[in-house]
Amino acid sequence: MSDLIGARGESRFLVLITEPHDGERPLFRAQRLGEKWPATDFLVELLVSDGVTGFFFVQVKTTRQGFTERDRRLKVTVAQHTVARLASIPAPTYVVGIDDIDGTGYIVSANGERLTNVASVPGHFPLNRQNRERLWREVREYWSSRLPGAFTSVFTDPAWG
Amino acid sequence: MGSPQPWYVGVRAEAHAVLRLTSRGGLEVARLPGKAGVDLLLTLSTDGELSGRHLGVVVKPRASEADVPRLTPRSVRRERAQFASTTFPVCMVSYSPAGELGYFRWIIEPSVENGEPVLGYAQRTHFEPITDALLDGVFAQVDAWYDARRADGEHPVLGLR
Repeated sequence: MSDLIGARGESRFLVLITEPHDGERPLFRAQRLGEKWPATDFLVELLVSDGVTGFFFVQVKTTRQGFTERDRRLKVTVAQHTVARLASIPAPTYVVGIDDIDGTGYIVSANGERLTNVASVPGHFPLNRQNRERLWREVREYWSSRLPGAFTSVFTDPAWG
Repeated sequence: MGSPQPWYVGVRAEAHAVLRLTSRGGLEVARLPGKAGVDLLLTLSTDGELSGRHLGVVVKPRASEADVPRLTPRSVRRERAQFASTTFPVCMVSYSPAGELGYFRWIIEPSVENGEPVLGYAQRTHFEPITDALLDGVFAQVDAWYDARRADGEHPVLGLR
């Protein structure tokens, strides 16, 4: 992936994740972590009217190669060591695949034990209004529990297990 | 939605600027820290090789898509003092959180006069709408200035007008 495509993907992610919800305020605020931060690109905070109520991490992968024909998966690659690092983070963590051709993004949970690299992201969970709201709710639920433990996401990909 | 918060306006304006300015390809983009004076540094590239031909970009966020950006003569004078030591082309673009229509103006405009590379401070306070044709012209102008500069090897450092 070239630096340009990566930079465009990060900008597209920022646009998608900070879209105003139902014409009102955004649900999220995202902060770049910088190149020296291992594995993750963004820390994303959940916004509420009076502040912040939780956070999660995101690794953004961008492609101009589109989707697989058979099962419509976005062709992005996440290396094995990155997958392992993401899975080990004790907080909600996601991979967002960006299709740089049409400007769409697709989210999938990166929590859980995985041993191999990832070669694609499913197209099941576009980063749209509905899934932004589901994302906000599941991360808030995680941080609302008194003793947050193992994280379980609705944005799971059986092919990653 | 009431008045959007400055972080929201700024983050989305910069993201839209990156996406639009890099839509034609043939360049790389770097975000610069706040004290750098410019927000983005575009570097033209040929066949993936960086050319060293830089264009600085200042992003001027605007709160609403309906706003038309405009500077005051005073702010243009202040800008001139701020960029007094800058030796490469610099422009300003303006985007709102919606990111539909961007605006452009030069801060330090490159040109070629009688075969000589010239950098001139922009005097105008108004912006032009960003179109594909405008961007093609901007990058051609930047390329022509660097071409003339290379041909003019006896004048490696150029004074600003």
